[in-house]
This record gives sequence, C-alpha cells and structure tokens, in this order.
Amino acid sequence: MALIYFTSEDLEVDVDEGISLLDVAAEVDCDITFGCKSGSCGTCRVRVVSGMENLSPAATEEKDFLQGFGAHEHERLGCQLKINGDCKIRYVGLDDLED
Amino acid sequence: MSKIILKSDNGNRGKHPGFFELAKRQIMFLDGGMGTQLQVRDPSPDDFGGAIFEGCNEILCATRPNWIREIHAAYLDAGADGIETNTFGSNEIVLAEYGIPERTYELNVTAAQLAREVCDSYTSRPTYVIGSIGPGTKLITLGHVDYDTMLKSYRAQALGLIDGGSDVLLIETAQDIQQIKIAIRACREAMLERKLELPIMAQVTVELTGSLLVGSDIQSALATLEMFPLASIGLNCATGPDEMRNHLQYLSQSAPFLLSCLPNAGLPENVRGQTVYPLGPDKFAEKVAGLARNHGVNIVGGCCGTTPDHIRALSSALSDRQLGAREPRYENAVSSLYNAQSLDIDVRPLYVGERTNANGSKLFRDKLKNNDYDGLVQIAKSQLKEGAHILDCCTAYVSRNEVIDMREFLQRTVTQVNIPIMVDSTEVPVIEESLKIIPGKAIVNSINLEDGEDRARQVLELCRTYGAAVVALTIDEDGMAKTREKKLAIAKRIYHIAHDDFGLKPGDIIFDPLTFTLGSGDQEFRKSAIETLEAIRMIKEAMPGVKTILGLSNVSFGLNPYPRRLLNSVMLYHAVEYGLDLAISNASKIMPVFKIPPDERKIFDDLIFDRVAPGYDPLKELLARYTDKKAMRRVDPSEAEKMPLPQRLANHIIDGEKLEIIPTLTLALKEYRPLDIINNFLLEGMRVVGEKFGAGEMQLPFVLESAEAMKAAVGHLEPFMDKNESGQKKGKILLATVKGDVHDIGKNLVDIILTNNGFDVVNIGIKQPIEAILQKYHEVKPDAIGLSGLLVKSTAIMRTDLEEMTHRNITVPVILGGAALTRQFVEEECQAGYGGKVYYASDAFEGLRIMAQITGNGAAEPEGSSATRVGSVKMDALKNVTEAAPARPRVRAVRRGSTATELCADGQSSWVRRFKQIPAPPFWGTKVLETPLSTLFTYLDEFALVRTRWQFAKGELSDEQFKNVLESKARPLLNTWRARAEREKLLEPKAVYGYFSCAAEGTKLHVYEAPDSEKIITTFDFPRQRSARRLCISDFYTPVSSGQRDVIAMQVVTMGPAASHFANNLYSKNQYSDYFYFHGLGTEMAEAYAEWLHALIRKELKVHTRDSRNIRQLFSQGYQGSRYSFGYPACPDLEDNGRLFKCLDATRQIAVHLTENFQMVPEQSTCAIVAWHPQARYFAT
Repeated sequence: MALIYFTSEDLEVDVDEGISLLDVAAEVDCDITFGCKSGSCGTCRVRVVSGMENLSPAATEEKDFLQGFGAHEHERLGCQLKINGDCKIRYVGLDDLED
Repeated sequence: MSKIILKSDNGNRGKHPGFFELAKRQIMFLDGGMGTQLQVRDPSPDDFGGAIFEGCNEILCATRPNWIREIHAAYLDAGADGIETNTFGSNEIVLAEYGIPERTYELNVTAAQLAREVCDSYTSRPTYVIGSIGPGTKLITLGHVDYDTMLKSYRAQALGLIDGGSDVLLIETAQDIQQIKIAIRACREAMLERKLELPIMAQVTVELTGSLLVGSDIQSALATLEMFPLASIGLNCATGPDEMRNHLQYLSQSAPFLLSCLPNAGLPENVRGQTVYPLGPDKFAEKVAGLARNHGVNIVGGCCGTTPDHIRALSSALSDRQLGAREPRYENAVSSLYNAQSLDIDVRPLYVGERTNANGSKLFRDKLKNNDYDGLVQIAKSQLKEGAHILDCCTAYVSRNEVIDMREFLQRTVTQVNIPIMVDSTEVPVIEESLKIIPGKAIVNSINLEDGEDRARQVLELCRTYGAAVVALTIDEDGMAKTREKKLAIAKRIYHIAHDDFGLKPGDIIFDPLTFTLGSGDQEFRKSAIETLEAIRMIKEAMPGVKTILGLSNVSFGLNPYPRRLLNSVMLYHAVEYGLDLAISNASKIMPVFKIPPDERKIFDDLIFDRVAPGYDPLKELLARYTDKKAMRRVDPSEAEKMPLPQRLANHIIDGEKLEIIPTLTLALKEYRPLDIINNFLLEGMRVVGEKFGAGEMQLPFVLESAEAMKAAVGHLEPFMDKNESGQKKGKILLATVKGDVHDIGKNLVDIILTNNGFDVVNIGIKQPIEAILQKYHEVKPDAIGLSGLLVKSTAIMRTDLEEMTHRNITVPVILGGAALTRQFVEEECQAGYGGKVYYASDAFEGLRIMAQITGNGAAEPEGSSATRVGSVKMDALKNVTEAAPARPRVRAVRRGSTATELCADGQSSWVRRFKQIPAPPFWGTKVLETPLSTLFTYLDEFALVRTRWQFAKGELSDEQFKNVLESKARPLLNTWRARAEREKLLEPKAVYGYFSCAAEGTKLHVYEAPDSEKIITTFDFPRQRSARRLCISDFYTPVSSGQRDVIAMQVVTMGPAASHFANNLYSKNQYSDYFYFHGLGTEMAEAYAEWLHALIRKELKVHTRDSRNIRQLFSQGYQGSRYSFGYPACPDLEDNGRLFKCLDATRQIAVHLTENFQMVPEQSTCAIVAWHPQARYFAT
C-alpha cells in the first residue's frame, strides 16, 4: 500500500508497492507524458516533491542521463520509477518553459 | 627547395595593390569561359597555323593574338578584375600531342604578355593577369605519366607564365590530387629560379559523382593540399553552382585559405547534338552570388558556358563586393587517394596496421621474396578489414632492392586501399620514391638525430616538398632516450628543426617517445613504461598540437603470445589516458581492458607502473601465472591450443571471433563430423550466449557478433556436409512484418538468433499482407509463423490476420512480437480469436525458447529461467514493453481534485494564453534542403543511439565494467560509423519543410492555401485531454474567432533510399552487428535532422532565444514551442501523415512515400508539425 499524490492535478492514487509509475499512469488519468519509455528522451521528467526515499533508486543509466541533462537533484525519469511507498510527484514537462 | 623564396608581392606585378591584398577584404571577379568565346569565332585550320594544330586553342595566342585580346578586354569590360591566360593546355605533355613540346615556354610567355598588355591598358582600376595551369591530358595516379615528366612539363609552363608577367598562378580544373602537388612544386621551383614569389591558387573539379575524377573526395583534396603555401583553394568546372554547394560549404568551414568558385553555367545538356549550358547570365549570377555570400567566397567567376554577359551580371549582383563571414577550422588530417583520416579524433588511438612490413610479417616477407606484389596488396587489404586506420608500409629486406620493391608495392596499393599510407623506411631515396607515388598525404616514418641532423633535415625537406607528415623518434647522438626528460629534450630539438626551419605544423609532427620491453626483467628498463607514459604527457603539454605514436608491441617483447597480448592491451589503455594519438598495432589484437579479469589486470598494471613490494614482483607473478596451464585456458586464442577443441569452438562463438574460429574448425574437422560440431559445440556456445544475454551479462551488440561467428562457422562447414545433413534443421519458421508496417529490425534480429541456433528461417520481409504470408505458408510448410510489427495499428492487424487464418482452418502455432504488444493482449485477445496456439515473445531469445518448445527441440526451459527474464531488454530498440504480471497490482484513484480546466467559448482550453503578436515566417510554402551530414552530427543524440538503439545497457555489469564497455566499445563504434557514413556517403539527408497559414476551430486545425486565402487545403483534428488542463494541439494556434491567422510549420526529413539499401546489403551479407549499428545510426540521424530543422524553423520564426545551450536539454524540448510527430500521445492518428505530406508535396519533392498505413518509406524518415506557442509541450490524451 502506497499513496501517490500528483500535485499538478490534485490527484491521490492508492497503489500496491512495487508498481511502476508507467503502470500507474496507464490506469489513472495523471498528467504525465511518456516518450521513449526507456530512459533516453527525458519527456517524462518528474519532480519528486517528497518521498524520494520511497522510490526505486536511480540506476547508473538514469543517473547518466540526468547528469548530462543537468537536471535538478529532485528530478527523476518517470518511466524508470517504481513506487515503494508514499510520495508526492509533479510532472515538469508542462511547466518548465512557462513565462 | 630552400625554405625562403625572396620577396613576396602578394599577386601584383604592376603598381596596384596585390590581387590577394584586395581579395582578403572584398570579393574579386575573374573572367568566364575562354573556349566558348573562341568557338564563336569558328576557327579554321588556317587560324591554328595548319591542320595538325587544329584544336590546340593555346596556339591561337601566337596565330590570332587579336582574338585573345578581344576576349580578355570583353571580360574586363564586363567587370572582371582578373583575366585567365589562354594557357589551359600549354604544358609539355599536351603540346607534345601536337608535336610542339618545345614551344611550351614560348607560348606561355606570349599568352601572359597578351593578357598583361590588355590589363595595362586599363589604367583607371587594378586588373590582374592570372596564369592558368590546366590538368593536362594524362592522369598520373592512374600511371599515364611519371612524376618527373609531369614536373618538367609544368615547370616549363610556370616559367613562361612568370616571365610573361602573370600576377597570380592558377592551378585549375584539377582532377588528380597528385597532379596538383606536382604543379605546385613546379610553380615553386620556377619562382625560386626567377627569385619572385607569386601567389598560387588551386582549384579542383568535383564531378557529379561527388569526387574528383580519380575518386578523391573534397576532404582528401583539402587534407592533401593544406600543407602547401596556397593563397586560395576553390572549385571550378564539371558542374553548375548548385552541385558545388556542399563541397564549397566544406571548404568554407575547413580550409585555412581564401576561397574561389568558378562554376559552369549549369550542368551541360545535349540539345540536338549541341552542348548547351542552361543557366543564363542572371540565373547564374543569382546562384553564384548566393554561394559567395553564404560561404564567404573571395574570388568568383565562371567556367564552361559562361560569357562576358555572365560576368557582367555577376559583378553587378555582387557590386558591393561584401565578403560573407566564415571562420574555418581545419582538422589535422592525412589522406589516401580517396579519403582523409583526421588526426584530431575524440576516440584515440588511431591504429597503424603493421602487417605490410617486411620486418614484422613473415607472410609479407615470403610474398616479397617471390615477387608476389599482388599478394602484398592482399595483405594490405586484410589490414583494412582488421580495423587499421593507417597502413605502415616497409619493404626493407636484405639483398633486395628496397626502392623497386616499394615502387611496385605502392603503385598497386594506392588505388586499392582507402586508408592513408605511412612510409616506413630509413632510406632517403626510398622515401622520395614513395612520396612520388602516393597521391594523398602520407606520413613518413621516421626521422631521428642518431647521426646528427643531416638526414633528418633531408627527410623533412622531402616532407615539405611532397606534403607529408612525419614521425620523429626520440633518439639523438647519445642513443635512445630512456628518461622522460631526455625524451622531451630530443622532441623539443626535433620540433625546433621541423617547425621552425621547415615550417611543419605541430599537427604534422608525430613523436614516438620509444617503448622498451618490460618482459626481460632488466633493471634498467623496469621504469621504462612510466618514463614513456610521462613523456607522452610532457611532449603534448610542451608543444601543443603535436601528436604521439608508439610501436606498442615492443613493450612485451620476449613474453609468450597470450600475456603479450594482454600487456600490449593494458599498456595501450594507459598510453591513451596519457594522451597517445596513434598506435602501431593490430587493432584486432587489442583486447578491451574490461574483458581482462581484475586480478589479471592488476598484474599488468603493477608491471607497467613498477609496483613491487617485498615478496611481490609482478613480472615473476606474470611468468608463473601464464605458464600455469589452468590459467592458459582462459579466452586467449593464440595460446588456446591446449584447450580441448569443443571448448575452444564454443569460446570462439561466445567471443564472437568469426576469423579465429576458421582454423579451429579445420582442426576439429579431423576429429568430428561437421554436423556434430554444429550441434554439440557451436550451438553450445550460442546457448551460453543466450544465457548471458538473459542474465544481463552480455549486450545485444556482442550477441550479434557471436551470431556472425556462428554464421561464418556454419558457412565454413557446409561444404563438408552432404545435402541431407546440411538441410537438417531443428525446425522451420516463417517470419514477416505485417501489412503496412515497415519495421524490419525486430524481425531481422529474431531471424538472426533463430538461424544461428539451428532453425530454418523463411523471412519474407516487411509490409506483408496475410494473403502473401499464407501463400508462403502453403509453399514452405513451416512449424510456426512469426509476425512482427512496431505500430499500435499493427497489433490490430495481427489480430485480424489470426481471425483470417481461423477462417481458413489454419492452426499452425503463431508467435507475435513487437513493441506495442503486451502479453495480456496476445494471450487473451489474440488467442481468443485463433484456433491454434498463439505465443507472445518479448524478445528474440524468448522466440527461440518458444520455437524449441514447439518443435520439441531441447527441454522447454522452465518459466522464469534466464531466457524469460529479459523483459528489460528491448528487442525493438524503441519502446520498453512492460510485462503484465499474472496478478495485476492494484491502482485506485482515491481522490481527484476538481482541477479540470474549463474550456473557452471558442472551445479551447482556457489554460492556454493567446498572443496578438504572431511570428512572421520568412516565406510561405515549401523549401527543399540537402544538409551535409557533418552539420547534422552536432544534433545526434548519442545517448539515445548508444543506450537505446544499440542497447548498450548496464545489465548486471559493474559500474566500471559498464563504463569500460562504453569507452572501449560503444565510443569507438560511434566514431567509426560516423566517419564511415560520411566517407562512404551511406546516408543522403534530404528534407522538405514549409510554413502555412492556419487557424483553429475547437479541436480542428485548418490549414489555408495562403495567408490571404480562405481556401482550406487540409484540416487536422486532434484529441483533447479529458481532464486536467484539457489540452489539445489546436489550442496552440489562434482560433478562427480571433479574426487572425497563425503560422504552422511542417517538416519531413529522410536519410534517403541509400540508407535502406546499404542496411539490407549488410544484412544479406550476414554482417549482423554492422547492420544493427548502421540501422540505429540511420534512425537517430533522421531524428537529428528533425531536431536540426526544428531549430532552423525556430530561428526563422525568431522564437529561438530560449533554446537551451545544453544539447541534452535541447533534445527534451529545451526550447520554445513543440514539434509533434503523429503517432505520439497528443496526436496519435497516423493518417495525419497523409495530410502533412499533401501540404508539403513530400513524395514528389524528396521521394518519401507513405504506405497504406501512413508510414514513411524509406524507413529512416520522420515528419512533424511545429507549434511556436510558448505553452506548447508534449502531453498525453
């Protein structure tokens, strides 16, 4: 049992632990867009507002990508995440270039 | 030649500023065609001075000087600043064909004097005599004439041109890079003799084929000429301005000289037997002016088909003489006849092949002894295959004539290999003879100061005269330098001579700081590797730009073959870290260090860095370890004889050694039947490969190398098997990509894995309708059918295909694979509609397991075994398919805030802001582009290519192992393929894009014929999000209700049909890994082109100010606006491709077609619409 809160759409989702964010997104309407789903395009970047410790740690490849990207330390690739506990997530794709 | 020639006057024999003084700050005009102007006068045999001279235009200077004066004057009147003398063919070789070689000097003097006279009559402005030196009628590279004859021929011409009063010497219409070098030398020698320096211009002629007549590309021409003191480089003849664009762009970006461009008046057409040039004066002027401005050309003029009117139009089109900006950056390079090899590469080292060396190769020596020169060429070619970048050539062998041997060998080799040559000799005459034969830019190996400076100076003189780089050994009168300080001191001394006295650029000086064996245990040399490594670093620091090289194998002299190979590999690894640029070594004998187990690696590291401790000596450790039989059984092919044959064969397969396996097979055939070899040993290797792949220990590219080895092995064994045996397969499968789907690679990977695991695969290709599949099914009667497809749409087609099969009472097992499939969809929905069994294969190895199960071959591996645990590896290289576990985890929305955005009155999301100011495009309608690959490479997403397309995944490797794989495998591959794609023109990028007037209406987006027209040419209709911001792509364009129009950009890019042909060719030749790499590169290059073009569109719409400087971010929408490709979440309908194609007329313009399912052919193409709106981002609907 884990609770995910998607801040941009004020959505709370209750999931089994260990599920991937991809699977969560497929089930509920949350505002995250996935591109390649294999961790190389960066479309699905999310800001982990809280609960980073409850997410699967970034593997070397994801770290490499985020580093090359110059991502914020609380950013992760949505397609690589597994949910192991409560967390708050905000999708950054839609707001990083807003005026 | 001595190093200084007299006073330079910058191209001026009169009182005006020199030609090049002006050309540096403004555009200068030369004249147009001479031949055409002479033809107009319809010369009779009398005009030539007799029938035997008919056609010898050069003689008209003597017989009809007035004609020539008139033509020169006409061009000067038209605005030319310089006129070319009528001496195109006035050299001894050409005039000898008319029997008058002795008149060469005189005719050149006369011609130059005529031009001088006309120029001097124009007193109001500076005008110049440009002495024309044409290519002649013989190609030296093809052996039509010898070096000395050609040199003498040009020397007479150059003397005449100088004495007649030329301001500039122009080597033009050059078709052979060797000929240009000779002409330059002739000019320099003539100037030296007359103690007068004139500027030299060189112009090459690039044919429609994209290369010079003898096959050199523009890069090799520049690499060859860059060492010479030219005033300008340029292009003339063969084609019109359009066809010159790419080559000129390269020169503009790279050549450290001023630029000239003198095209023909278009491509000649044959009209009723007459050669007609299609470009009239205005069109010609417009095009040449465009080239000049865009590429910073200094000197323009015309060639065949151009007239005084063309020059008049040109000088008026460029009347402000304003130079376009350019900042050339030259990469140090050497060159073969055909291609240049950069020395400034990211991935070091460059390998210098050492088997074409009488001292290093017994085979080479034997063939030399038998005068088997063609055999020597074969060895040279085999070096290419083994990955050499440069070929070291040495024919020094006792009791033979080294000069003759070198000549015979090189004359055959230079036209047959496309990598540059390193002349390996200590004899000055041998070096000189070699340089007379080698057409491109060679490297001379080597000089040193062992007997003082004399010989070094002689060789450096040759390097300068013939244009060659040089290897310098750190040896002086005291002998070989052993300490870092001494190595540096000698290097500095040589640098001083080569650079300061002979003018060689740092990049053309390659130091070899020498390496000594660590295998002897000799106290004197224990620290020699450290000294060498440090010397590499110090030399490169002290003399920025110089290169370094090592004769690598010396370091391990005296050791057994296996530890030798390891020590060479580890030493090379460190040397590269210290800055080494080139290694004389066989690339295929270097083992990636990550393949060496850490405990073994440590011994070699300790040996190199002399890390001894009480009771520990790495050399003793090494000697003990590698005489121990057990340790010898590791991987090593050269020492593997002691390993049992079956194990050796399996290891060859696992290590992907397709060359090494052949001799082992020959041995094995003495003991075993071929079929047993395949079934028992080779397939065992493949089984291990599959297991390692499944366990994440081995990556797909290595798997493909194993498959190549398997294919080579089976191919080798087949002739030894009888028909019955060789036909014996484990089972048969029919493979196809379904109707409308062009995706080949996933299916082909399955083909590769199954074929090389003993199955018979009938692969009928892409876009296969069910009728074709079933027809083949009845014909070949397979045990199973495999259907593949990448698109979501293809999954529906698979289901209807299965229904059709049920309808026809077919129940053969069917295996489905493809990125859009899920296990659940296949096992539930597809299975429900089919009478036979349907399987889901998440990757090729699962396909293999299923085939084994279907055909009863090998125990079906239990679920969850290695072969099924590969969900993380993406066979389609595109999308990761998440396997649904049997019991699906629970996901439940507990609370959903009421944040759904309201829609405006016009039906658009109220979240999206409206802008009154809409960008104005530079044009309406479409434009076609052909962008050079080199430009697009900057936009290549290397991360996506290496990690996703090529599937270099970390898997179960340690961080260090993974880093090693990336460094020593992926990086070099990337470099190699980039270079290869460019060199061999494997990709032919083309694009069409355009700007259209548009306005939105709810979810619809209307595209209008023109901004002031109400005629709608097409309408897109995009889905809208049901919640949250309720976005729809149409929202990012102004609504019809605003009364305004917006702008939509559309684009289609392609890598051209050549890419598909080449990929298919690799595949059909069983070069699986090359196929896979190239396919991935092509796909990512299409993406790169799309990204590049989108950047251009942002620039043209002036919304580029927010473009991210971080390229990674740029690939993830780090810019204003968005580029949407159909099929993605916000615009899933592929039929929109059809609408877009209609707007851009893409099929006609760049030959990209759509299939019935609206997919693009050639496969490596992509299209998109572009929105400029700042809130336009990717979103899912």
